[in-house]
Amino acid sequence: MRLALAVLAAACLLAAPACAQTLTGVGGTFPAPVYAKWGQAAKDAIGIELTYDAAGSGRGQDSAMAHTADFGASDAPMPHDRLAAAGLLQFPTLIGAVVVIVNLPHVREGELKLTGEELAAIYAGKIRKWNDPRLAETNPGVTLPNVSIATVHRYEPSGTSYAFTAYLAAVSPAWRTAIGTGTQVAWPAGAGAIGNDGVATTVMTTRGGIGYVEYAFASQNHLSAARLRNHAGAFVRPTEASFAAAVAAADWTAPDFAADLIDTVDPAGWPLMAPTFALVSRDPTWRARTLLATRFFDWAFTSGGAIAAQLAFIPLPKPVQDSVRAAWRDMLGPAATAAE
Amino acid sequence: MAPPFRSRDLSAVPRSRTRHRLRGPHALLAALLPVLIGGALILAWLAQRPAPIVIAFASSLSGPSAATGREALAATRIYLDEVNAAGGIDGHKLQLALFDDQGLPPIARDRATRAVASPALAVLGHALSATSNAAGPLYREGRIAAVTGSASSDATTRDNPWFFCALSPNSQQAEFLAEYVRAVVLAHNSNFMRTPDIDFVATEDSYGRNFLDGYARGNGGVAPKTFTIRVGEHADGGAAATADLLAQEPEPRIIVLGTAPDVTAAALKAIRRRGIHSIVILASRAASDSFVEQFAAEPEERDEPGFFLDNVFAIAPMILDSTGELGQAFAARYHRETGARAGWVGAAAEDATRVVVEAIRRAHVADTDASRADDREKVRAALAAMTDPATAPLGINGPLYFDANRQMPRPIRYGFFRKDRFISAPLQLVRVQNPELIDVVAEMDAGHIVQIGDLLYWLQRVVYTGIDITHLDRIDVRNGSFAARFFLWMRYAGSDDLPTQVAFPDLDGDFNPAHPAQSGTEEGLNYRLYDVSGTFKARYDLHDFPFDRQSPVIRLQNRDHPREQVAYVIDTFGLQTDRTGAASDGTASDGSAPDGSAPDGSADAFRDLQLWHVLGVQPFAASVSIRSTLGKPALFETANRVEYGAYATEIVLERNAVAFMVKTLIPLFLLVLVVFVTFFFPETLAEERTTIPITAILTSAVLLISIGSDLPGLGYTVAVEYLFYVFFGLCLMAMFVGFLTEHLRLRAMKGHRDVIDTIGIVTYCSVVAITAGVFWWKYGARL
Repeated sequence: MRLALAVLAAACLLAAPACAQTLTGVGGTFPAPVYAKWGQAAKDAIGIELTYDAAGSGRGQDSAMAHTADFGASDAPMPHDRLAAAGLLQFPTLIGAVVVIVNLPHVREGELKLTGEELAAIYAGKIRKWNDPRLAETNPGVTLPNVSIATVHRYEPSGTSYAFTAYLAAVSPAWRTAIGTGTQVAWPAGAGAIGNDGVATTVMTTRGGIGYVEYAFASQNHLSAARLRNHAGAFVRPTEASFAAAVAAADWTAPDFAADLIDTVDPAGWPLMAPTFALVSRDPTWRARTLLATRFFDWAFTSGGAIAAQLAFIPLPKPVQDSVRAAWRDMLGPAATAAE
Repeated sequence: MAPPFRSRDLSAVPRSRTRHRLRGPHALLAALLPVLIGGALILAWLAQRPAPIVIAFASSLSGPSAATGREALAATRIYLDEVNAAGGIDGHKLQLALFDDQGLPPIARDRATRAVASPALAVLGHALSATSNAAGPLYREGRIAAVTGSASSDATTRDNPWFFCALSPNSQQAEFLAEYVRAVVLAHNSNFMRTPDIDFVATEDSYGRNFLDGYARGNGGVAPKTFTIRVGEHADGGAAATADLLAQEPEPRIIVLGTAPDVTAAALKAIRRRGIHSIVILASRAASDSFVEQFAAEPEERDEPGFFLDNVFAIAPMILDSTGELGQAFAARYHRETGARAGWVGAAAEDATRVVVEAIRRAHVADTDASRADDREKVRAALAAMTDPATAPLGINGPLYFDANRQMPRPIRYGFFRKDRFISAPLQLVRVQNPELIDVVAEMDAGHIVQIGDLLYWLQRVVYTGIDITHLDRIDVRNGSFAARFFLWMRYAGSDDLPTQVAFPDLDGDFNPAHPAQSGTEEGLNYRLYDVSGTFKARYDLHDFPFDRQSPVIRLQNRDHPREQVAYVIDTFGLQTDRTGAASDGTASDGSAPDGSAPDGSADAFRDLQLWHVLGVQPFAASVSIRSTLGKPALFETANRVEYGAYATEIVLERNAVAFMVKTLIPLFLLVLVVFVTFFFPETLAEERTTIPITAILTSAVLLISIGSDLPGLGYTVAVEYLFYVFFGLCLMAMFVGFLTEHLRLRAMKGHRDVIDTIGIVTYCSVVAITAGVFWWKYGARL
């Protein structure tokens, strides 16, 4: 009997893809497209099949704390004290960009320019018309219509909202004081829509609409995105080059890898970037499940970069990947990256 | 050649002195006799003339809903005028008796009582569901049939065999709306990256309940999330409270307002003021110009046009910009008679009138006081018998026949507001009438047909079409052609170029729709632009030549796909008809007649037309019907018609008659003078008095042949030919007078000769003056 089990185990190890192990994840919608692709590829490559429920960052954090999933995913970093209290390890998996989409008749793609202060004023309900003199001053030569601005934000808690409000708080003291940062805030005006697709649908069916979505979503659906003014004062377009510049300028030594990619100093950098995080348990009881998660992400770091880039996400820089692997090994030993 | 007469002095011959004159009472009697005879004949004719048939028109002619009632009344009158002009019904003219219900149920009951007591054989009305429901029982008790063209409450015809409705009832409109939302709005909108929720707003009355029930039926039996507004004195407050609740709901969503007509505007204002910019769909009553007017004075609308009505859609029993020939003709007539744009209320009123008139015709009424009750019963029976589309009268909205509930269920149209107009949406559903005659599976695979429940619908694409003429020259009347160059554009939904498969049947040359000058997308629709030039065949009516007006037409039609699949409508905004007014465009979407001014910026396009004035350019949506069995055995016993979508632009031209006359008719005027002078020739020129008119006839005949050489072979006489014929007559008269005076002179009857001469001169001058007067009366405005 023992022999038979041993043979079966050996067979599974040798033919991993045929005996796939299931990894469960719950969390933000932000990385969901990449996780879905990674899951398909990892099943064939290392025999780990990912089941990911894009239920939002809040649910991702809750699931990680309640151990109802092998890992939680959050687009907002979890505070250190909560991580410590819940016995969780947080590490970044991907970097994404958030872009501002608009539906403005007769304004061409990429023609609209916005400063962070103007964006904050728009979402605070202080700039209500597209032909407001402040916007006109930022956009000389662009005929902005006499149309009310219809702001659209995320209805449910969302890491995308976290990144967006973090940006507004960083560039607008008024926003920071009155509204603040969070996956869900008390929006002073506008409509709440569910999901990136809901925000995009609402914006695209509303003349004068403005909303924020992940770059990947905007790119795939050919949505019209505005240029934003960055820390250096330059109006930049959301492109892979501007994303890479912003990532390169970030400080990745922050505790729990909670790097701040908002409004980084690179003159060519896109100001609205955010890493997305995975949360795994440090509890030895869940070691086997955590190992499965770290092996999955280890494979993803090594082999999933192309998939991420294809979906308009930015893979973690190599030094950051190495730092994450080191953290895994500290917690789980060398087995943390055994799949490699 | 010997002179016809020799001069002879006959002055010695005594003049007759006998004169017989009527004097005193005899003369008076002789003068009065014709008057008496004429009067007696007129009286006899009046006595024999059949009495008019009276139809009661009971509607809201004053009060808040007066716009609806007046539009219906105008349409009704226009149709009845046409029927009367064609002789009425069996010689009976049709006459309206008006009853104003002021839009109030108690008044409606009073007016219904009066209508029952009147000599009317049927009632047209009422405009509103509330007034129809109030008056209905009285018509049933009074046993007179009533047909409404605009009240659509389900209760109006229920349990009342005397009430008919020429519309789909509310619940069926809502059911169709739900089907449309499922099959078209959600399935064919590329902007919907996430399926929107439906938030349904209903008034707490029978209208709202009917609408909600119908919507749930069309939504697969699933009631949408519903918010209610209490109707009554505080409708605005109720609407605002509902808007507050709606603001808590997530996007994306579509808000459907199944609200009573008097609440809809308040609800929409509250929603927009609450900052909700979602897509809103309204019930049919809102699909009118008068609904739009309710927002014009609001400060938000004045500050930002479109604040309330952007992203607002509505259903309507019909939208005239995409109706067929009858609809276009109605729109043109309505505009001509009233100066206003017709909406579906007017069109439905005409359909209702058409039904009533046809019922009276089929009832063969006696129309006497004694027969009135019997006549009314016959009219009701005729209406009730209109249940078969094959024998039903044809109306703007198709065959006019009733279902078992005495209503006319049919697909509705879906449109949206743009500026102050309500226009057809790019995709419509049209019920498949004869599914057994088409390959349903293939059509469904191709995406042309969608199935909702048990019913099949064509997915009709509405193509916003415009033709801007850039150059027009060579109006060739003789060969029946003209040369033109123009831009043609089309905007349409869908993934294929089926709507561009058009041909210009009158174009003498090639047009390849596969090679547009520009293509792309505009506002989410496919966009194709063509630069077309060539010679087009035209049919010219030359009866009034050279005072003629001509209307050459540039006409396109879809070659392969019937109107159920592709309908061409006027691109009102692309043609800037809202800017140039109803003039040059013929009121654009309703196809009305031009008022005589050329469109802005067209002067260059027509600069080469030296001999013509351009009065206007009128686009109109049209269709081309072909009656054919198509060789299919299944159709051998039917009157199958295939209707293809078409679009046309008519250029209204008026010949520069002054220039023509100066160039061509001056010789004729000179000849008129020359012949006239012969009356004053002395006796020594007696011979010339006859030869000059003969010469004038020959000369003018050559001139006439010369003019005729510019015209095609015609089977009728043109106006200028009448001028020549009159002149020929004058010449003959001058010759005759010449002969006669010479004859009298030879017989020495100088006094008679002078009289004949005078008569000749007076007659000549009179004929010239009368001819000039007639031509001036008929064509003076064109000079």
